[in-house]
Amino acid sequence: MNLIIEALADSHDRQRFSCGVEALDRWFHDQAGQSHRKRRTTVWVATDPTTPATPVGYYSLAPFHLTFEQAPEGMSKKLPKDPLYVALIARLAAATAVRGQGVGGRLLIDAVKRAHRASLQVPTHGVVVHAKDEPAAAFYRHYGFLPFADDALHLYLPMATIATLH
Amino acid sequence: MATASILRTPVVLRPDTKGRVGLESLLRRAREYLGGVQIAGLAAEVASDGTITLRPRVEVDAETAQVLRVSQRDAEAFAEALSHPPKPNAALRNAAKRWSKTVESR
Repeated sequence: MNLIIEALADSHDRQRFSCGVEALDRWFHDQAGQSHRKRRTTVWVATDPTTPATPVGYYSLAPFHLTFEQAPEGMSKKLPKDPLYVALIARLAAATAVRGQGVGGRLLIDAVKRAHRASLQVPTHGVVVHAKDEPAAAFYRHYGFLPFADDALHLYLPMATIATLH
Repeated sequence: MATASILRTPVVLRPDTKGRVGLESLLRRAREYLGGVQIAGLAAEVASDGTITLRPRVEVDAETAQVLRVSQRDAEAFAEALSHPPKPNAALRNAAKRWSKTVESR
């Protein structure tokens, strides 16, 4: 199955989208349009080119930063510059109807490549994902995302890793 | 509001010489969370020496959260990953190949 992945538009019929997770469906139905218009996030939609009005998946990107706790005994030399700017994959969902067709993996590639292209103009150092639960976190670990040991529902991939992806 | 609960780095309150504990470090931690992230609850453990460990349960709204506070060990791991970036694993490389062949990204 080929895919077009493009910015959310009025031509996308969002209301029938179903990925099996109510919060992700509801957000896409009710809030994605406003979020994208007001630039709180940017929303990217996958469709089959033969049915370009029917979303089969989406993801949203947002600006994000990391700030670092310091040990009371003084900062380790290894601590990165604080704050550190990254791109966030806030949500990512593939429709139940296309399960098993690699839509989620291709959405993820599209998201990290888009974040990487943006980073060449406005620098960010990695992509962070906000996984809603453990199965979602496992999806990202499968693709090599590194979990924060103290916060396993946030995972990251350095931009330099994404840069080598062809 | 889409939220996820996360057990974050604990706050340790050590008693002073009179056996009192202050809540300053907890309040400081609470202030450090910015938009979209809030402390939804606390689990407390009291040790025999009077030390209280509070584990905040944090709720993150994926829509509006703009920051993640990272513990020192995670910051060090992150710095290590930035200076020695891992190679993309096989799953990521395969997905990228499939993406190049089958996706028109606009």
